[in-house]
Amino acid sequence: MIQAKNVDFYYGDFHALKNISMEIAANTVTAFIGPSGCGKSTFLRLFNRMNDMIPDTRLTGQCIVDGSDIYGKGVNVDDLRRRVGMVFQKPNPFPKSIFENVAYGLRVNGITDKEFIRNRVEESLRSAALWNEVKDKLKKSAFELSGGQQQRLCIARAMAIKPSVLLMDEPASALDPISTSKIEEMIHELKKDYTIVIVTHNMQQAARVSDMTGFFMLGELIEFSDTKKMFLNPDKQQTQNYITGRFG
Amino acid sequence: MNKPMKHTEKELLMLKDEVSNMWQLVLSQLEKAKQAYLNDDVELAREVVSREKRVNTFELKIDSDCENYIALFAPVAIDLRLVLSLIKISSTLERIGDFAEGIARHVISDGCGSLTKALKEELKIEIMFDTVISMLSDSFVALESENTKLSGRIMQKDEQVDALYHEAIDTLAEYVASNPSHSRCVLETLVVMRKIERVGDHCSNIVEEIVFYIDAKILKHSKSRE
Amino acid sequence: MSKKTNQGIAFWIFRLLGLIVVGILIWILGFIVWNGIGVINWDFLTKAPTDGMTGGGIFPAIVGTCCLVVGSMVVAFPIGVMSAIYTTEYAGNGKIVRFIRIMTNNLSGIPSIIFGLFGMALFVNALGWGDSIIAGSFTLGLLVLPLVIRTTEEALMAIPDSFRTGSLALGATKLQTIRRVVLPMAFPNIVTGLILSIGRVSGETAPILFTVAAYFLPKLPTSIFDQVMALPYHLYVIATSGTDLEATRPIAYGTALVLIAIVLMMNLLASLLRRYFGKKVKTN
Repeated sequence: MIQAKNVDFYYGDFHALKNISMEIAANTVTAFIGPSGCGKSTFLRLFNRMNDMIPDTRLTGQCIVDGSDIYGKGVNVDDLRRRVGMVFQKPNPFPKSIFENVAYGLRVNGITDKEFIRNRVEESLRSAALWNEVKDKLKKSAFELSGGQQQRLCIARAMAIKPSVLLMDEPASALDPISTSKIEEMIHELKKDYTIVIVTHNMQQAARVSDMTGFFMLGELIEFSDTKKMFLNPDKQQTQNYITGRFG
Repeated sequence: MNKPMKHTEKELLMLKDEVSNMWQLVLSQLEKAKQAYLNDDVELAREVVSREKRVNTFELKIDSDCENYIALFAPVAIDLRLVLSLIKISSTLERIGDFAEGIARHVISDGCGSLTKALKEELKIEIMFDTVISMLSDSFVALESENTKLSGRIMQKDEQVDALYHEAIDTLAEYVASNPSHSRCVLETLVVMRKIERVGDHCSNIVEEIVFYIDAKILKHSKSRE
Repeated sequence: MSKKTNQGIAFWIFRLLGLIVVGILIWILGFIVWNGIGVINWDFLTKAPTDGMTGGGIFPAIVGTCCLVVGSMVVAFPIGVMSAIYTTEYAGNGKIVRFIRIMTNNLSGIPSIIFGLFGMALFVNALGWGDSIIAGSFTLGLLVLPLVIRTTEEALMAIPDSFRTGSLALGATKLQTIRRVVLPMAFPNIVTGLILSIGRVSGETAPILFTVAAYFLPKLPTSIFDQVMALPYHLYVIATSGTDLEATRPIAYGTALVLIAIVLMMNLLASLLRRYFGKKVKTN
């Protein structure tokens, strides 16, 4: 489904990712943990080519999504991003209505069928567990929602274009515990339809939501294994030190 | 009630269900051991022995599931107490399973079937069996209904079992004096009764765990129990 | 001296300075209104000057200034906004962009009379447009171009990148992102830039001196190649080189009042527009 083969990534002279190989199966939740600056977010952003926007970066190795190298020749980046959705750390709804936020992805992809858009918006809001909270105020500005609701709106927005992969970059780090738990619950549900990769600072969150966990440190993938194993009996001493808080 | 259950709650419920299933198995093991012993039914005894493996498998599974649950979900408060008590309950159930197996093995190998029904009746072995079985099933009800009201009754039954056990020692002592040729069988019988008595003790340990889980009270080693 | 007294003194100095600024503004406005209000009437606003500009109204100059404002905005706004979009959204942060920025800043440092001379050389003579609205509009447009670019750039840069990445992550192209997310959000601030430009344009005299402004032209323009009168130049003329300076003094104040009123009205209109769009951006 998603695959990295000997990926090295550089910001200028800085070697940010060191020879990373990994395979992520479809319809699973994979969490990346590790100290700040360990490269987990950078690695995540490789898969929808968000790092392209940063000048002076370089990649070697292969990133494969759905069987094709996404850094290969002739790859349409916009098309890739339609297939690989992303949710960011800070909720970033557009200054539009709740409805238009979710419809945005459809509209920029040239869909004009009103009925279709309406149905898809409702469906997405439902799977983001937001529909009941917003169904009576779809025309209201997205900014009127709480932070947790905004983040779920952003998830609904990403789901509206039916990507096969959903990348989440610390999706709950700016939220209160209740909103966080709602989002985690949702991730658990979404697993049925999406392959989810989530970067988190919160190890407990990784433990709660994921099937597989990757531990990154200083640009290296130290350990990648079943979450249960990772949190009960990790293979590497470094992993043990980090998840038990004895790091450093 | 309408609130959808969170997946952490579901996992916890699954854990509890596993322990319930183990409980049912151990109960039936004990029941069968009793039947086998009272009727000197070697066939049934063999069945008990062969099913003991399943009890052990249950314990291992529950242990690892509890470990995973703690590792992944870091439970606190009542959830933590539940997981901790489930671990202990499962290992206690496994011990009870061992006793049931042990009793069954006696049936297979001791050749004391000749021991008269009258003696068994005098020793009130059936009553002891029934008492510990009811203790085990009552404590199961206590966990399922999350109700600790039954705990007092179960503890009392343990005392009854102890009393029966001590009476039985006297009876056996008399019996062996008058039938010295049966001394081996008497000792075998004593061992079996000892096992039943131990089952009773383990059942009260289970009740203590249930009380710890539900009321967060620690009954262990407190004077209320002798 | 205690901290509190220090604080008190500083506070009073700041308040005093603030009041002085407001005072000066009120003084100027009051002075103009006091002296000019007397000549303002319907005829003054709707009639052409008569009697060697000692009588009549200033209608052709009002129309002329409006033409120039609109014309120069038509020239400067698209060019300015588009080049600002290029420099902020597309060009990255390379040498070319830095060069463009420096040049833009230099352009805004050039005295306006130079623009006038340049406009005369290029638009009036070389392109053969003669003294005309179009030549004046282009000259004024060039003059405010740096201002438009600068304010648009700032408006665009004020939009957090998270909105752009959010849009791109949904498979929107860069152009779609700019058109559907960035520009609507930046629009209110771009309009603010427009306000400033309009204020600047309607007040400039030097650039129109050689490119469009007529000393005395009672009829209204019929095409963009016509000359027009303009308020600031008219004010200059009747204040310095009229036939009878004493007699035209009230008319000069009246003209000044109208000029200020037009600028204020445009500002008001623009801020209403801004508020309207700001609301629209939020709820739609």
